[in-house]
Amino acid sequence: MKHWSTQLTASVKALSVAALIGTSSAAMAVDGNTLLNADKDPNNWLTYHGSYKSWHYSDLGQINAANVKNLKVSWVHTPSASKRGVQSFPLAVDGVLYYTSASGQVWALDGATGEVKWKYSAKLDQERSEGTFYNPYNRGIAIGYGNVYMGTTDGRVIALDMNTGKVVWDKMILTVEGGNKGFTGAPVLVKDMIVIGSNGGELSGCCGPIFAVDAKTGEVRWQFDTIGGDERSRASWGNDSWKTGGGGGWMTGTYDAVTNSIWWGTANPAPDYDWAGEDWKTGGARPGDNLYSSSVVVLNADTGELKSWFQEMPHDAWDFDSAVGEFMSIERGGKRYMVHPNKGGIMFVYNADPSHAPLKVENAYMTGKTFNYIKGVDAKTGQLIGRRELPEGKHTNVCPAIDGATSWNTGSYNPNTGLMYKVGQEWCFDIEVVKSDPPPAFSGQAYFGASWTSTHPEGRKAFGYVTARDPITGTIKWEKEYKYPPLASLLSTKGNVVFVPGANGVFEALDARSGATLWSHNNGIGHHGGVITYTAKGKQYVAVVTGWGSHVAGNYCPLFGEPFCSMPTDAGQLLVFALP
Amino acid sequence: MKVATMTMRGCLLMLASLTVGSAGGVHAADANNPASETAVPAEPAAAPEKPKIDIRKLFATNCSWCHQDYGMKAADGPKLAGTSLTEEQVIEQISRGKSPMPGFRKTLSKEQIEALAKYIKGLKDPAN
Ligand code: HEC
Repeated sequence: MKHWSTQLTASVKALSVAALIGTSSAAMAVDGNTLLNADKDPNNWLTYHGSYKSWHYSDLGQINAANVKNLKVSWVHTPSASKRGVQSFPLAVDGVLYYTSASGQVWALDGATGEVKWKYSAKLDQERSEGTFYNPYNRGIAIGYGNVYMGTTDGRVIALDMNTGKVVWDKMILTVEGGNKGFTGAPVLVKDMIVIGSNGGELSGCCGPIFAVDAKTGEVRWQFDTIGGDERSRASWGNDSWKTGGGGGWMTGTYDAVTNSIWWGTANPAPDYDWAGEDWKTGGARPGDNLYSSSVVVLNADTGELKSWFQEMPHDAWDFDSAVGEFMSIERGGKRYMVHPNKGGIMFVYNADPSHAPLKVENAYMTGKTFNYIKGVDAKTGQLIGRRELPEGKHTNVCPAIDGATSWNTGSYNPNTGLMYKVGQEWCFDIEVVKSDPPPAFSGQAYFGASWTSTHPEGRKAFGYVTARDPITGTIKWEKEYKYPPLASLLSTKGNVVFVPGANGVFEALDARSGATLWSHNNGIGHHGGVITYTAKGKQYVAVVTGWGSHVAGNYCPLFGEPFCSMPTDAGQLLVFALP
Repeated sequence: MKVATMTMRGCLLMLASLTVGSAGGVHAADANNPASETAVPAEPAAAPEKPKIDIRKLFATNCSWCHQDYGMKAADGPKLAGTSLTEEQVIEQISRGKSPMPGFRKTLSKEQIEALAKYIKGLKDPAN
């Protein structure tokens, strides 16, 4: 630790000097130390969540609440066809923008002009990639040690030279024998490692691994199995059901340098759905709590050993992952918190100290409005109150639907307003739970049994919103309702702007203090990915990706009709905005 | 690779026999449940050793992630009722897939795929 913090001061200095000079011709050297201070470097967007604090916030203020109304398209990049749109988060280093489109395509573009510097197309094992439900998503990259890192749907991690796009290394990390799943989420650089989690909560197989890979060589440093990796986990899956139990960690977690810990959210258990009903502790397909599915795990960054955990959904009967969303690191009154949303529409506020095991819940509050899968959550313990089980058979008006009250798209925290901005989605479903048979243990085949129809909440049409609230107490400052729930991530800036990429294609800027709409631009197709800001040649840009199509987006045609029924699901772009 | 494929095949057989052997077969008609309305054309009564395939279960465990309400509603995948594809084309689509729909030729038997295709072609589109 000491060693790291000394280097850190040096790199902060180097960084601020570079910022003062403006642009330097030699590419900035990004390593584990650089990332420790990513939040103090608004010119670049160095990692998926913006920084390890996961605020999705920028200290840039050239574009602000007063002038954002003048924002114009500066340039656009179209990555050829992109099935299910572009869902990734761009990264920006030294005025160069890097992003991925579907099926493992990586682009490096001049951040000021959009000129293509290089392009890389992964050659995927199509049969394997297309065998899962999550094909051909790619949600982003990591950058460090001169490389761009990407996971693939066929289980590889690839390092590309960030200057040329040439392959530096290309390693099979998750083999067919190891579970036949893959990677759709963005990796995160931690020290000199790339950390990435596998997908496949509803795919048969063990053990839903999270990997740390040597950033320079691609060798696996450690593997943490989200299910079946320790005695506590195995004991919580009756009849050895962990062997077909799903799990994984398909979105991007974070690193807390204060405790040298990786914080990661885990996926749901399989089968999805369990037919046991009230008897889930002893009966059904996976009797017990099913640790560490639908949980938060805190790992020793150097070894991958479990330090602590909290299961947000014990015996998840609804497919409400904890893999979604960000870990916002917030300090207040001398206390350190980690704020993490769960798909079931609950915000968990954890004490950031992992010496509490399980994690200490400092607060838990409902963010979802239309819910009946539980009656509520205990604010002091984070325990679910009044579960509604879904045994084999039909159930009407279950809220929220499988898609959750929030999806994987991230919120944003603005330290100037003290507010957290977060998207919510409100619809329900009628579901028939059908008994499924377990596929082979390591097959990666679907282990799933249900059919459903999305429905509107009782008494009103499905809807969405962006809410600004105190992240610790949950107190709402303002809320803006949306006819169509936004499915993209949010960005807030020092200029008091919150950017909201809308589902219907309208990209909006709201006033961070009041929620008033300051600007909007119709990008022509729904947004379902990231939004960042950066500078190139001293000028501030805002970059957003577009494109539609996913399991969650699939509900919009049946729920809302047009413009969603005819919205293409094989196109998407990167649009970059600036002041004239 | 080899190992995995072999295990998969072994279990496929197991799966197939489980499904085909399931006592319920296609469930009794239910106005709200198109899957149970559309019985897979039964084998002649004289061949009881070849039991019916449980379409409802087959659909719910393989297709409903993307095709809502047993194929009656559009979602991530299109509504299947009233598809303009021929039965052969439907078989082809299920077997080979079409990204993002996975192919099922390795995980479902020929009989299961044919039964699904028959079921889909038999769905009445309420919009027409
Ligand atoms: C991961 C999502 C997914 C799963 C699982 C899935 N499908 Fe599909 N399906 C799709 C999508 C998307 C399309 C449209 C593909 C296209 O034309 O681009 C489609 C198209 C089809 C079509 C063609 C419809 C038409 O009119 O063109 C049929 C038939 C079909 N699916 C049947 C099935 C069956 C049967 C299963 C289960 C054995 C299944 N699907 C599982 C997503 C899925």
